[in-house]
Order: sequence, then structure tokens, then C-alpha cells
Amino acid sequence: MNELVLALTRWGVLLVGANVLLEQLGLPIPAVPTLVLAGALAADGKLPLAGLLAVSVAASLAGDAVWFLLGRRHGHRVLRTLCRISLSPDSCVRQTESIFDRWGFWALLVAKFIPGFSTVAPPLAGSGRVAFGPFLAVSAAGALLWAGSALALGALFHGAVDQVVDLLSRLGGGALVLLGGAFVVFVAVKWEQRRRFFRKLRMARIPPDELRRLLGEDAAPLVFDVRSKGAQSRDPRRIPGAVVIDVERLDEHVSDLPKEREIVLYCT
Amino acid sequence: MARLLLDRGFTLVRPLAGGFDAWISAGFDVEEIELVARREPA
Repeated sequence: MNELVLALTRWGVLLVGANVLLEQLGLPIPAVPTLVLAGALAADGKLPLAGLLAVSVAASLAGDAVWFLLGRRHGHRVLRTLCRISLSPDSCVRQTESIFDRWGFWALLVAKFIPGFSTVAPPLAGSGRVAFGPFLAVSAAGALLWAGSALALGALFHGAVDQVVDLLSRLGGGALVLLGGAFVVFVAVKWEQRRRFFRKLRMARIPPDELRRLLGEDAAPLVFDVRSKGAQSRDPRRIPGAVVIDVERLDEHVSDLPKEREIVLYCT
Repeated sequence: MARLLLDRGFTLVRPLAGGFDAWISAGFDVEEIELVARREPA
């Protein structure tokens, strides 16, 4: 029996719980690989499957509850923090809400499978109309589904996972480098997913009344009229202050602008 | 179009929901485009 497996066997349940909790609290420490590994060890009879599942669900619920309660207490401010708000709180929050509205309460059930959304869903539910009891219930069901499928995956492919573990323990110190590298890659991928998710959120459309309000403020967005030339000549009016853009000469228009400048565009 | 701006590194680009028509139906102010406006740099 090698040391790696020995350590995992001894501390496995605790490690899995800690990993799930940290991930649910928002740290980029993926729990799925740990769950898969634990699932494989459970299939070999080295870890208790029921215990792993119980600890995963409990840890996941604890993390979700923290965010839910923060959302309940501080409302949209929490979401704004999550949405990296220096940019545009309103649309980010509104867009996330619309995901929630579209999928409804049951979004919480699958939230863990959706990058980005899993972090946003609990505080969103907390700041909204969802009661704590039902939230915990659906969140527990979601956690069961999520942790259960990762553990099942490990159990199903435990032969392959065992081989990987064997290989790693034979590699010794090299294994740590390999695991470290894999971890870095994983975090990078996750970060990129998150960045895309937030970018999508920021791509939210702005409703006319919000634009009108923003135009009255100091940090008013720049408004681009990107209608076709034909449309512009048919209706030679624009939103006050809008820059009429010739799309073919876009670079001339924007080359001097700071990249963090908020831009609103409109067509017909 | 929004994509073109994002590709150029702008981080916060939002299309107006409903476009110019929605702005006009909402009854918000508009102004005439003067000819110089077409050459006005951003």
C-alpha cells in the first residue's frame, strides 16, 4: 500500500468535505477530481461511499447557506461584488436574475453544473423571494446530484483511477509536480470559464430607461449610433450625444478610447 | 458590432434593448444629426 493511497484512505472523507466547502465558498479549488478519486477509492472499499456523499452534501450546503444568508442580508450588494462590479452592476445583476427567472427555482438544482452560475445562484436566491427552507432542500438535492455523479464516475472507472494513482505513487516527487501542474491548468480553465461567464453577463442589453438615467450621471456611457447609413439618412436623429459611427471606420473612432470606457450601441 | 468592440479589448459594451425604435417609443429626447457629426471622432 503506497503512502498516497494510505493518506487518502485515512483522511479522504475529511479532505473531500474541506474541498467541497472551499469550492462552494468561491475558491477556485475544484472538488470534482477529488470526488472522482474518492469515488474510485470507495469502489475499492477504502472509503465509505455513504459517508463521502453525506459529507459532500453537508459541506456544499454549508457553503451555499453562507452565500444565501449573505445575499439575504446584503441583497444585491453581494451580487455586485460577485459580478465584479466596478463595471456595471445593474445589467450584470439583471442578467443573472433573468437566468434565474427563466429557469426558475429549479435552476438551483443544476446550478452546480454550470460554471459561474453555481457561485451566483445561492446569493441570488437569498436576495430574492426564495425562502431558506426550500432553498436548503433544493440545494441539498442539487448537491446530491452533483457530488453523487462525480463519485459515481470515480466508482465506475475505478480501475483506471487506480492505475493513475499507482503511477503517481511510483513517480514520487514527480507526482507532486504533475498534480501541481494539473491543478494550475484546471484553475486556469475555470478562471477562463468564469471570465467568459462574466463577460456574457456584461454583454447584457441595456434597457432605454436605464440608459437615459445613466446619461444624466457623471460616468455616462458613450453612445454609438451604429445604424446603417440608409437608416441614418431615413431618420436623421440620434440619442443626444450619440456618436454616429461608420462601421467600416470603427478603428478611427475607438482607437483613442480607454478600454474600460462603457459603451452603449444601438441600431434601428 | 458589440463583438467587434469586445475583440478590440473594450470590456463593457452593451447594445440598447429594442434599439433606437425602443428609445423613441419610450418618448425620450432625440437630437438632429448634423453633417459634421458624421466626421466627428469619438
